[in-house]
Amino acid sequence: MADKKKERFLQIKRFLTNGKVLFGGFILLLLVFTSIMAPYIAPHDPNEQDLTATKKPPFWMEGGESEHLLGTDSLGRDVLSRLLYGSRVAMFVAVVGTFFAGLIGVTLALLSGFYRGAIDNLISRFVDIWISFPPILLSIVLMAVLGTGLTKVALAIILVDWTRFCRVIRGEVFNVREKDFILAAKAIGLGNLRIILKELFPNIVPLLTVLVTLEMGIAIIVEAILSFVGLSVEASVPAWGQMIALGRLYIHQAWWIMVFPMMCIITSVLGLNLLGDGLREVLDPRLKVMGMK
Amino acid sequence: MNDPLLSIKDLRIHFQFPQGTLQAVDGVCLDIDKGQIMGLVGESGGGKSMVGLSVLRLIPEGGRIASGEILFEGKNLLALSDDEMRKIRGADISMILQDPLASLNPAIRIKSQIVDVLKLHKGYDKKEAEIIATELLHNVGLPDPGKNIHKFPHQLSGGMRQRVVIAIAFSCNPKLIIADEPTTALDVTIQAQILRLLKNLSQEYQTSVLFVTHDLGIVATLCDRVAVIYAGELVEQALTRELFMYPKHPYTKALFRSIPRHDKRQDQLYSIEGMMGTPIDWPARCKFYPRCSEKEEMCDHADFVDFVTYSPGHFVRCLKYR
Amino acid sequence: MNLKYIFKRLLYMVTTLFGVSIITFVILRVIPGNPIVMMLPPQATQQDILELKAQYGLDKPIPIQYGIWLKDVVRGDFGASIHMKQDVMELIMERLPATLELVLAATAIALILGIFIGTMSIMKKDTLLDKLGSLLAVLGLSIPDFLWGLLFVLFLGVFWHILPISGRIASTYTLKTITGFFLVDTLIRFDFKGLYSAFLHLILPAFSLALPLTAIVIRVIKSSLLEVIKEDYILLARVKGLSERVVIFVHALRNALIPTITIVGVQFGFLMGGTVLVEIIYSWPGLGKLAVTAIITRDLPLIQGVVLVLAFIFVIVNLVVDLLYTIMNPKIRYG
Repeated sequence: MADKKKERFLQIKRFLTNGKVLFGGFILLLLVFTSIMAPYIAPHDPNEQDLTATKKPPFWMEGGESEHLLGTDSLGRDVLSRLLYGSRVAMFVAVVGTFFAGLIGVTLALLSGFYRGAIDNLISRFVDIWISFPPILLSIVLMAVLGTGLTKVALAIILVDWTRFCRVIRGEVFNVREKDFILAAKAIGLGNLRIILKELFPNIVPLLTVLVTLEMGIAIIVEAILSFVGLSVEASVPAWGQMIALGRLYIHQAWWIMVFPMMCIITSVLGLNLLGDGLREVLDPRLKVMGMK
Repeated sequence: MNDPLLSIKDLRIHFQFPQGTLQAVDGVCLDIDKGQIMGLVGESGGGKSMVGLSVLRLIPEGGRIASGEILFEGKNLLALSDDEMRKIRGADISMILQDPLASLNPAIRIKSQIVDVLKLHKGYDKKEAEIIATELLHNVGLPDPGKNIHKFPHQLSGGMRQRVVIAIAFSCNPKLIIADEPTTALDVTIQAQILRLLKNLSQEYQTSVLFVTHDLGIVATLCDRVAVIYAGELVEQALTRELFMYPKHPYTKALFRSIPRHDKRQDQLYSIEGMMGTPIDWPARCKFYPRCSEKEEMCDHADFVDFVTYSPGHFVRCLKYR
Repeated sequence: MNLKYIFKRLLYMVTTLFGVSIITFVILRVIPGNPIVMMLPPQATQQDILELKAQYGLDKPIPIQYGIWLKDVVRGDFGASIHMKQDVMELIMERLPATLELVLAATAIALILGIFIGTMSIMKKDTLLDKLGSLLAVLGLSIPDFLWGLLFVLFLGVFWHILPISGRIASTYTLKTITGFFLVDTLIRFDFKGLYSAFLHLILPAFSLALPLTAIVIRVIKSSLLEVIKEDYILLARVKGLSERVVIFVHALRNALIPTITIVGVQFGFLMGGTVLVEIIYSWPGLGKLAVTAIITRDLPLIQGVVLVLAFIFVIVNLVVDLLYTIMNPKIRYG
């Protein structure tokens, strides 16, 4: 028993000393923080227009002022505040989209991988057809059908990306189900549902964790893409993608309107990807050890 | 006989692990004369493959040659530059590996795999090289060499593949060939053919062979001289006949006892007690001590066991023969 | 490669395309706001709307609409764009080469760059080149194509006018196209100024698409090479005395390329449907832009046509990739 505790301790230690996990985890925490605290730390109302102070540059440039640290956009709205509120959209989309896409995808994958046969064929066929849809176009079409709005965006993401979870997890399920403890569980006569939940699922959790971080980054990007085409959240809701699309129009006079939300997206996705990479390294330490014959 | 062709002096190969230093080879001294076939016998993990690889300086990553010299025709191979070493590989010293299917590149035809060595070391052009390659394949007994040379490795049988590997090894007339268990992966019937081929070629070209194996039967038929290795150290060395008739080291004796016998009834197959284990940070004393059936009081107290000359040309590393 | 296998694959393709078209059809008919209303002036009466609806066959039940559409498609008739009043197939064929040229260029860049960086990364482990390669791999995966596009536009088009950022060729050109591939059309006419212009215009959008793919290629090449290097035949190649460069580039890469090409092929299929944003940013007149316009104007026949064509390309590319794999892997080809 002491061994297990020691192993657990070593595992946690590995987590905390992996550079990628630390950096990525930090970014994630930062995102969570800003999305929760935005209303309290944003210096201005993100929708407050000030037509006397449009396209003001960030404070370190000529013409900038400390009132608007990162400048203002074409309607005089404070960029920094909009960025902070934008993280709420990003987080919402990332968390909700990933969770439900994962729920659907993993459930189908578990069923597909465990029962195989006709069920697997059916589900796989369905996934194949779904994947043949160009994903960006599919999400755009869905938004055209569903209409704009935050929840609709999340829904579109769920409907497009569940296939990613399904495919990858299904592969892993096939790997795991051949392992001895599954056979042992079956031999004892444990019910299928119990085997799936208690034996199969815990073993795909490592891969799932990595996939989740990846998907969160993708969700943020998809929202940005949809904003670009004008099919994302309502105009009154500040979102990074939307800021980029609007900012692009003023790229010559006020490049910062576009650049800052770009940096936010890049940092968020980078952080999430690194987190996923780091988690993969920690959870599968075999990859780091030098093999010897 | 003047100086030996190959002279390994006090070779030590270490691997660094978080748990400690693995002494894969711990002070091996070995001489091979021109045209001699030297057997290197031991169980898996005993370090025999590592000795062979170190001659070509192709130790796997993570390992390093901690000390020692490897003199080939008088030159210390360990002191050569990478470029100089590459000139020797394939031309003066060559190697045959265990699994012929794994030794040949599955995506490249046989022809290219023989021709590239010829072109590299002998400077032939494509046409000449192909002709020579076909002849080489004929010499190693590959049926229909003209046709098979254009095939891919997986299209040939295991025995044919190993003949190809041998052809590649002999192609540039090397002075020394290191054969690392070349018949282990083959059918028993093919094994004998390949061994015969190896012996004939070695005699014909006067090529020395370092034959690494765990199979004493092969040693008996093929090798002129044998060295027994255990846990990275040589424990006994002698002419083949001498070793088989008068094995002295307890490990060697145990190896012989382990061979299932055809002539006597055996109720139980003999196996050596215990396991060799991984030589990480071992205490300095006789390494075979834990498993030795002939151990004595003094064996536990000595911290270094030297090679002793039992009779001319026959060396044993055991305190009992001091 | 036997007939039965090919037949099965074709059947598979056809059923997939069926599925895609049915799903598209159904989704589009659920769409709020229909093209009819958009086409008519605000004073239009209910009667006008009904008439126009009947004219486009939108008043019939969905399954019948699908049947009619299917019948036409089989004959090669995709109908006419409601909004642009042009034959759908014509519109698609006008734009397809633009997107193809872009994606082909991007794939070529990604392969060349990715294989080179990935291989050098393995050969010179832990050196500056390796670290740079890893950096590019991480950045490429984290920065999507359109953000690369915007970055390039910003730094190479706006701040410093190094490269053109709009259109396929200088606006002063009126090119008579044969293949639709500007690089080819200018070349066969020996129009080197035009070729140069088309080439310059292709660089930024192609690189924007290429960089994320390059990151993928680097990852795959590195992991494949690491696997291959452990094999005995690599040891034997070294035993032969071959230089490290030959060992890696000739022996190791030959085997590591097989899974790489497979993955790149699949990505190519994905890329064909994913050029939308890059085309918008660079005003590239391709299928992506066409598709978005169609969706926004609810141009049903056009949307159906474009989606079907893209799905078709995707499925064909997958088939080609599978065939390519069997050709490249000698174990299967010469079984």
